[in-house]
Amino acid sequence: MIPHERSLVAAMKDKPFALVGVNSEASLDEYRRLAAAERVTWPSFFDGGSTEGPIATKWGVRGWPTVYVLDKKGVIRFVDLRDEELTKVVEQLLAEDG
Amino acid sequence: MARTVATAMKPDLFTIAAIALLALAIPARAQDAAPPDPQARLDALLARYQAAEDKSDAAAALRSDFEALAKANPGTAAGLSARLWLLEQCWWLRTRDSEQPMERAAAAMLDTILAEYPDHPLLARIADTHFVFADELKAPLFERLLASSKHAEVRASMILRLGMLERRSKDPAVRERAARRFQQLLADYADVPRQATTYGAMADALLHPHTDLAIGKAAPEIVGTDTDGRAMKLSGFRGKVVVLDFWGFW
Repeated sequence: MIPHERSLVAAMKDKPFALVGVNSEASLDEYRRLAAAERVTWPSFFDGGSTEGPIATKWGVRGWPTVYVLDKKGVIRFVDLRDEELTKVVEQLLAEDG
Repeated sequence: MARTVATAMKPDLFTIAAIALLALAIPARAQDAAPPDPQARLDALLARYQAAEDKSDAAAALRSDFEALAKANPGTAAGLSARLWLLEQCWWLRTRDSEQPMERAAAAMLDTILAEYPDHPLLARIADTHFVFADELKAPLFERLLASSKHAEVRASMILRLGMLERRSKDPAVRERAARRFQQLLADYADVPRQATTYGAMADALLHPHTDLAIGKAAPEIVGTDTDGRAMKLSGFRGKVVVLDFWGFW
């Protein structure tokens, strides 16, 4: 997933787009170590240090990764797309008025 | 050892050079050669495990080191931490086999832990390692530790785990019990820390999950901190197309 996420961020660099993570790593130290090694280029909420964190719990996340795609008005438009399909809907939403 | 040899032999320059070269040639093993502080030793072992790509291999390779540390340091936080790590590694024994090797190994380890450490703040982690125990063992174990522990973090951990088990029940009366557990966490343990959050924050999320998450609905707000420790809100990204990605490194 990470290489695709990285290329999505790079492709959308000059567009009104944001990849925002909710990360379940056990500690911030561990997160920083792995994020540097894997070249993570997007911001993430740190969700309390486990997959049972408050944000994932409120959003009812039962499997990882779980992806929500929001339009410019903050409306949920797509759920759980990956790779090329994800890129396609992002481009579609970018073309809409914000 | 090299120093003792050197003193005894009163060596010439050649011998000194040879010993120096030998000392340099001793590989990383030397740094594992029992530093005096058990906590430092434990931290070093945990760091090695964390850094390993293949956790299954690393667990097998490090197991005897953790066992030795636990045996050599009874009644200490480091010794208990080592035992809790070993308990967690029972996970590798899981199988569909009716012999239940994981559950049996975990039960045996639990007996050792509770005999050696009748009460200790780190016992909170037993609730986090719930997945290695036989189902019928879990609730009685957590209830027992809840009733007997003097430590708030242990009681909170047990209450949380009991609630997490109960909330998935098909029986609405049991699910109602889960809600009362989470309310108790809010009332009595809100500020008790749990990893990078609090029992209060977890209980609040468990009591108030979003009910309106669907395509076509406005995404609810997220108020949190980013991985640099800075405040961040989902609404801060309004005006942009957002991919909200619940993820981890595994």
